[in-house]
Amino acid sequence: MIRKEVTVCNRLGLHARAAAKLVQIANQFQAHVSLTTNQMCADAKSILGVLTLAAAKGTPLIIEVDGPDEAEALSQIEHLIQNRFGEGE
Amino acid sequence: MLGILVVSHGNLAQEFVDVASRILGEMDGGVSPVCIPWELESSAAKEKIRKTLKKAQEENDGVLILTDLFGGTPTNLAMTLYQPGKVEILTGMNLPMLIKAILTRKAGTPLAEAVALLREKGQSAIVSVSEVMSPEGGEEE
Repeated sequence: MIRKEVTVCNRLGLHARAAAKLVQIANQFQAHVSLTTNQMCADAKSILGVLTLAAAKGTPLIIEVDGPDEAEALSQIEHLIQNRFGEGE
Repeated sequence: MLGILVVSHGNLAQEFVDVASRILGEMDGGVSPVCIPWELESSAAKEKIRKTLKKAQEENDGVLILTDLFGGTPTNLAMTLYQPGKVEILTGMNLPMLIKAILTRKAGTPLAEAVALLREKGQSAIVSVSEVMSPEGGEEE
């Protein structure tokens, strides 16, 4: 199991379309992926779960990945968040 | 696979489906909005639902109808087309419920199981912000 803390850095935070992109990536992997804020934890493969995090810009997010393809899963999710979900701001 | 009909007053059904498709990406055609205009006579409205339902039944193993308001005309008309185990109806739809319904369809979940799951998800997705923001709030879903 590996984990990494990242900060949500896009202007709109972890909103619906951003969450959908994240969930789509998480679902490409066998590994279990969870996202944890200082308030709650959600399964990164569930869009409704990810949306309940209500993670605004600046929220620290711990990505925890457990499974055979965990390294690649973590790398792609981290890249997506740090790349502002491809939103440009 | 599960067919999904979204039936509502006015243009709400179309908007629900449009918003869900913006969030989840392209639909595969298994989700059909049925908008009932205010001025539409009820027999014509029922026929509109019936035609869409017939097509959905031909293409799917079971059909779930999501409607906007229990007691409203769209729901009342849909209820006349209810077939236990084949055409099930959930009223009081919300966007989380529709999103989950689309994901449930993709996952191949059978109709009876989907109805129970979506009822639960639709309710648990209603959140009082004050509870989330309070220090005691914020339990895992």
